[in-house]
Formats: sequence, C-alpha cells, structure tokens
Amino acid sequence: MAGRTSAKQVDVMLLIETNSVIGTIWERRQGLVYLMSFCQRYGVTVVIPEVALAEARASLLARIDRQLNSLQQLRQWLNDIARAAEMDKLVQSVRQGLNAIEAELRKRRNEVQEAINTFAQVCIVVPLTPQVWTKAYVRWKANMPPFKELDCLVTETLLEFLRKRKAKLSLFLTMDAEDFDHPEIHADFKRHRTNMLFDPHAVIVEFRKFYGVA
Amino acid sequence: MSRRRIKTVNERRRKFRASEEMRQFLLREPEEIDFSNDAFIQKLLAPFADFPVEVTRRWAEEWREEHRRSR
Repeated sequence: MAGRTSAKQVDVMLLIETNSVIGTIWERRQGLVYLMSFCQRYGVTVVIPEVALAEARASLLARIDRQLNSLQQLRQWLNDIARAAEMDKLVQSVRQGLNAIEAELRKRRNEVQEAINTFAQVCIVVPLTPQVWTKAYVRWKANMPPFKELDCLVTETLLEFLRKRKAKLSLFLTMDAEDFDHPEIHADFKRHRTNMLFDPHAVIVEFRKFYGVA
Repeated sequence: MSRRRIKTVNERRRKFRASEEMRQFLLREPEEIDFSNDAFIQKLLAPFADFPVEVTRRWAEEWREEHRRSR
C-alpha cells in the first residue's frame, strides 16, 4: 500500500463490469489479476456498477448453490434406498460423506461472499438509482446498443457516474466487445473523456503511458 | 494583484510520475509476477483456487453463453 497516496494525486479511474469480476475470480486471467493488484496497491479508483457486482455475486454463488441442490437430491434418493433394512448402514456412511461435502460447500459459499466483498472494498460501487434505471429502460426499449437490459443498466450507471466525477485518465474496460463495441457507446464514453477498451493488456499499456513507464 | 504562474510542461508531468515501486510493477508483464504472496488477490481467488483453471474457465464460458442468450 506504500504508493497509495502518490497514485491518488494523479486520479486515474478504471471502470469495469461483471466480466472483470468473473475473469479474475473464475478465469484467473493474469492481466486482470495484475490490474486489480495494481489498483489495490496504488490506490487507483476502480468503479463498478452495483448491478454488475450483484450479477457477479449471483453467478458465482449459483454454481455452488447448484452443487448444494444436487446434494439435496442425492439425500432424497438415499432416504428411498435406506428403507431396505440391509441398506441402512451403508446409507448412513454415505450420509456422513455428504454432510462433510455440504459443510465444505457452505464454507466456500461464505468465501465467495467474502471475495466479492473484498473486491467491492477497492471499488466505488455505483448505485442503481431510479433515474439510471429509467434511462437504461428507455435505451433498452429503443433498441439502442448495448441492446441487452443488463448491459444498458451497466452503461447508464457508468455514464451517470462520469457526469459527476472526472479523472485525468479514465478508462472503461469491458471484455464484452460483442455487446459494447458500437460507435454510439464509444461516443457516449468519449463525451466524458473515457476510453472504452476490451483487453486488460490495453489498459496496462495506457497505465504505462500515463505514468511515463512506457 | 499577483498573477498565477503557468506551470511548465515538466511541472505538470511531474504530478503523474510513478513512484519507484509503481514503476517496477508496471515494467513487468502480468505473467512475470507471482501473486501468491498478495493477500488481496489470494482472498479473491480463495473460493475456487483448488479447482483446475480449465474447469472454472468452462464455468465462465457457460456464464457468457447464458448472457449471450439473454435479452
């Protein structure tokens, strides 16, 4: 954390969306891990819409919840099998194994919550307000890029944030080029002096240029 | 009335100069850095760290596919 103060003075902002969370926690993409570590060490402002953080949390937890549900189904089958007198002991030992697996899954579920909370601690989490929701709804209903409802919410949340906050260097990193790489969205962010980039390495290059390291 | 002196280009740039520690970080490629001692990163990776990365990447792809199908 030694460099936190010096970086704060330069006021760099990195705007991200759900893919950056998934890309860090699930995919362990080195470029993203590098960026998150850099931002945390040197106090670079990371900005994430509340709705993107919620989506990431739900997606990561859903994977564990699916495993917990499967476990529950197994227990139901075991109850059925355990009705045969000779099976009872065997079922008991399997149940003990299932209990241990369930305890481990619940522990990991808590770790996911902690990981997301830790991620959020280094970010400005931009709330979803009724005004933003209305703008996003209109954008989505008007079939404007990025077209999908959730992506419209992300876009409008970040644009609303940029109306109020300025930085010397402002970048929006999204790995979803399919939905976001449209001239209209580039122009929307450009109006707020923010560059939209689609690759963590491109962000690293911009950071190096900005800090005179390139 | 005193006039504010306009900063030179060098003075303006000085504001963005990275600390030596920051410089050293930025000079390295992501693949060259060992994050195993980075407590912050390890906390992020903890829940799925013992899964093979191919497995968790497949989950991420499935998640993206779901997103593609959404409207």
